[in-house]
Amino acid sequence: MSFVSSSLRLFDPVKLKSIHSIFFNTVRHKWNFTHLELPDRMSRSFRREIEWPEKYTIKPLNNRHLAGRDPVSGRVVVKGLGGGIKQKYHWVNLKRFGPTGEHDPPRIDRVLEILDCGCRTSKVALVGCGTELKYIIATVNMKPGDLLVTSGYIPRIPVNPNEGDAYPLGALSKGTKVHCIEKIPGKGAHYIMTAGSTATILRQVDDRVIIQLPTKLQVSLSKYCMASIGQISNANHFKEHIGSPNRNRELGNRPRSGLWQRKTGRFGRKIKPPPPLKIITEKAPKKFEKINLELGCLF
Amino acid sequence: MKITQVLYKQNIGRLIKWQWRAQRKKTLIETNAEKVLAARNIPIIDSKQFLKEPIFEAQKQDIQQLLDNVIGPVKLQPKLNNAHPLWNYDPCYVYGDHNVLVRGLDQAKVFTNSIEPESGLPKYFKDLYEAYRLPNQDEHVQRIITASLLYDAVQEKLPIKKDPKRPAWKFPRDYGIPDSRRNNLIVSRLLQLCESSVGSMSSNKLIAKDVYFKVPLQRNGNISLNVRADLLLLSDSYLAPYVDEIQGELPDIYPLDYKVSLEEINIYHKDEFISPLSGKFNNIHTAFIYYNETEVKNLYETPVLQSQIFGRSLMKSYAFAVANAKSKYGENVKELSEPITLQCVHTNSQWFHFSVFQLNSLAGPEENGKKNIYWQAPLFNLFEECVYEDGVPILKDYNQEVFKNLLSFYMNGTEYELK
Repeated sequence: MSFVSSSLRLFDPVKLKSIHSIFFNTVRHKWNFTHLELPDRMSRSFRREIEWPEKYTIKPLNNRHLAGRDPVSGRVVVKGLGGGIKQKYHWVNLKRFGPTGEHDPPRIDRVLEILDCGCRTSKVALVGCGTELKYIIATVNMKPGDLLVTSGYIPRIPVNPNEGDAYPLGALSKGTKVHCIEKIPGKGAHYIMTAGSTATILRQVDDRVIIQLPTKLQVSLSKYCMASIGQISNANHFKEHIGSPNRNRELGNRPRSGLWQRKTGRFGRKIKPPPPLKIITEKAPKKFEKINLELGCLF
Repeated sequence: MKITQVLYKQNIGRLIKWQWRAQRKKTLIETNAEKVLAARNIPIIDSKQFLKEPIFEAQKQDIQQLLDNVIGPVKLQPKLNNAHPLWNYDPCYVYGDHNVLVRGLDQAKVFTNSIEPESGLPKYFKDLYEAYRLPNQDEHVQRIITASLLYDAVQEKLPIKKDPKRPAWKFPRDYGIPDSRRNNLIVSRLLQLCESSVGSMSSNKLIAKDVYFKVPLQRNGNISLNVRADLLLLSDSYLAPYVDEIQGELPDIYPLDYKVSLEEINIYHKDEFISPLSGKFNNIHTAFIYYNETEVKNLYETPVLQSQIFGRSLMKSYAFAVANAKSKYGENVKELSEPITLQCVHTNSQWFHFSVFQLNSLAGPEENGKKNIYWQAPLFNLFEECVYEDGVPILKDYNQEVFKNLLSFYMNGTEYELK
């Protein structure tokens, strides 16, 4: 039997570290060496975890509330979250690509329905083309029946787009209001996704286009980055009052202590210089591998 | 030197543990060593392969023996991936009982290659409509409604109610008759009323329940219509076509394809045709289909529109007609020698949708073949309200038109009518 047990070592060895973190030392007076690494609170959302299917679907997805806890260790990472009404998640397809050839006809989508999504501030639009149905983020004036143009071609003269269309940044004239902007071409929308927000195209320098975000930060992006035209729907979202503490609980926020007070500006404002232009390049800085050395037995 | 017990006087263990916590994380910074070694043709070997524990042959055999002696678990079902024996690379577009088309009736008309010549049923039905009347028919029907929707003894938990304006509010849980049972009771009883009163005139009919059809189509891809007829009235003689030929244009659903919102699956039997129609009674006279609210849903979970309900009637009628044609004239039939006509009644036990479908050809909308024809009456409400109010059963606004239509559908094609 001992030989059998020794041969069972072929299977994955049980990680002692994870066991230490769960089962505490049985001897109570002994100093307990337990240390949990918590994830960075900005690394993901700790409000809900979504059950992603393998294939894209328009079926609203189920999710479970995390209440600010890290699903791996179970420890609280973000305070102030918990409870709330269950909402289904509408999987928005952030990749809007069209044909890139000069003589190719653009892709045309029809808006079928504008829906409220409980998991995001903006509204989502159900659009269809051919046999494909998908959700995109709805703009302010979008309504069912609209036809949306999507093209990846950059002509010599800037295009005259309508609201909801998607073009590369290089095909748009300066001053155009855009949203759902790609950070790196082909990776899907990254900037400007919340209700009522919009960015402005400032200028074009060689192969780069400079846009201004609502925070006044100027970003230089590749001209091949796709962007949708117009302002995102539900523009009055930031003016809406929560109304009552109970409604705040329905939204999934826990009660606050009441200690915090807004600054009055009595002592003036710190005048800071505007942030420098942020240049986004396709090549990310090389990340070195990190290792965790382990000592099997500690005394 | 005296060997004594180790005392850990300076508690060095804890110190080392703290040191480990701080120092165990290391970042591997790439040095130039690899390049230099490669330049000198010195082979580089990964050190991890020497760190592995060696596995002896004896150990391998030992494990094999152990696994062989285990009385195995139940064989798992094949996974639903591309290793599945029924996996096909091209997807099959499936229209099922729970589906509704995203563009409703317009999309259904393009899918079935059908044209609606005029609003309302064919003129022929107007004569039938007034011709038949049962003694005390409205009283009978009202009794049937209350018996099916109020007095039935089955009490089950009904679906949870939600008010979108007050999402936090929980309604008390209702008990009652489930929707599929309500539909089944009311339709079968109304049909029984027709049978018992005028059935002697039309003895050449057969009733079938829960008939399942699977109809394959080839339209720039595989399509399968997997539909159920909840109640099927079969006849030994076919209904005569109402119109010989028709000209007209299909609705425009650009830029959508007519296959949109059908379910795409990769695991399926190719060209599988299932139809129980055979023998003497191989003509579908009338198909009754139920709209069960718990079953029929939009994929994106918004309420089903009226146009989508009409589209469902047409899609199901088409599936039944094609199944009827295939079982009559062979599975590969394209052009029909004789058109197939059938009637369809779609209901959720409150509203009734009456429609007539004439299948002229199995050609899709891409081919310039003959067009099929679809007639439909508007939605009729059988009643406005049928509930208990303060413990008193109440039936409000009973509509006589519904049973008149149903009776004219039932009597259509009987010998009595031909005289």
